[in-house]
Amino acid sequence: MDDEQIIELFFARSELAIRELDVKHGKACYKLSYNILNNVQDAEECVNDSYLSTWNAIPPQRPRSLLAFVCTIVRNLSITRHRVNTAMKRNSQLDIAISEIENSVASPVGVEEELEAKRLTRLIENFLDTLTEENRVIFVRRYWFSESYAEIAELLGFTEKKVSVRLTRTRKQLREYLIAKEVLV
Amino acid sequence: MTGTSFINAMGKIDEKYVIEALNYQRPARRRPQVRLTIRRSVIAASLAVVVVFSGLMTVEAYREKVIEVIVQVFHDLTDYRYISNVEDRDMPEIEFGFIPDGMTETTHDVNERRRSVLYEADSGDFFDLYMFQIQPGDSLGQIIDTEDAIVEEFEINGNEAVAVTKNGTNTITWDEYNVVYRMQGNIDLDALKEIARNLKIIYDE
Repeated sequence: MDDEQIIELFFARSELAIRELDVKHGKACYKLSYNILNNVQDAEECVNDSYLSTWNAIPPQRPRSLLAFVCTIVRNLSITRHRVNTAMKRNSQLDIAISEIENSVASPVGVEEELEAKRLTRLIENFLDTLTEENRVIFVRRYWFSESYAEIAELLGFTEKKVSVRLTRTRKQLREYLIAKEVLV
Repeated sequence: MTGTSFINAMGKIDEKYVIEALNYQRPARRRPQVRLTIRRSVIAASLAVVVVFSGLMTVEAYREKVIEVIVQVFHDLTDYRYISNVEDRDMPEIEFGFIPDGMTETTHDVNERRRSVLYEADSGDFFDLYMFQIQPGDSLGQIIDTEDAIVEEFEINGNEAVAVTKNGTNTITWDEYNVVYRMQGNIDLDALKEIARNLKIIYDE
């Protein structure tokens, strides 16, 4: 069943919509959640919660991409759950991704803390627009989907080393970009 | 700024970046044109041999069907052999009802028994369509590399078809009346099927 048909089931308030959503995109949702939480049970619960949120959101919303829509919900719920689980050992792909990016965006001066989250998002989008499609996909796969180097390498047909080098360069570019925009000093 | 605030801000980027990352497909490496030409020549030559030598075959056993298809699976190749027993018709004209965005026709060769069309995009995407017409009593064979390939049987407008996916190349083959169609390219298999399903075949009456 294609995404349009599944969305129509949501609009018809048919519970089949959830089943079809799970059949088609459940695996991708679970993988995303697991990358963030590093816990099977938590990931399964977040995916189930995301289905309920999707049920409540459609209608009235009609997503452009059903997968991107549900992935956004899964990501948000998983990050919220991750915050709650602060006592958890920090070893998920999200933790690793955060510590990686920390070195590029952290600044000893606190001016950037006043930066509105909204403005930071716009800056990130502008930065993403400066990247090649390939580098942008690698960056988003890493820092949006929290995918491991191995997963990204498999997607692009690269070695993990090549993914690592690309991300290091992109993070360096990001730091230079944020300094140029006076977000970092 | 902290890594966490950055990751949070990342979570609010426009959906288009997420969709791009979800839909990204690594570009298939395009085969060199020379190799493509050689491959075509080899196939064309092998078909010619088959057609000439099989013309002597009896066709009594194949009266019931328009085209008899014999499939032999070898170690790493599959031989599809077609035998026609219908009244001869001229090579039909064609019209593409669907072509993926950005693709344009770059080659179109036709003769009495064969038609070949090549569509290409600047991105390196391509697909080609070969049509081989079989004369009554003749047979035609095409060999497809199926070693470690994904093979799927499906239908194109009521005709049995086979799709073979291997190393980023998709091949579809089917037959209708006395013509065997083979479509091949590095584009998505669903797109290839869509092209095939929307291909209009026009016979002179």
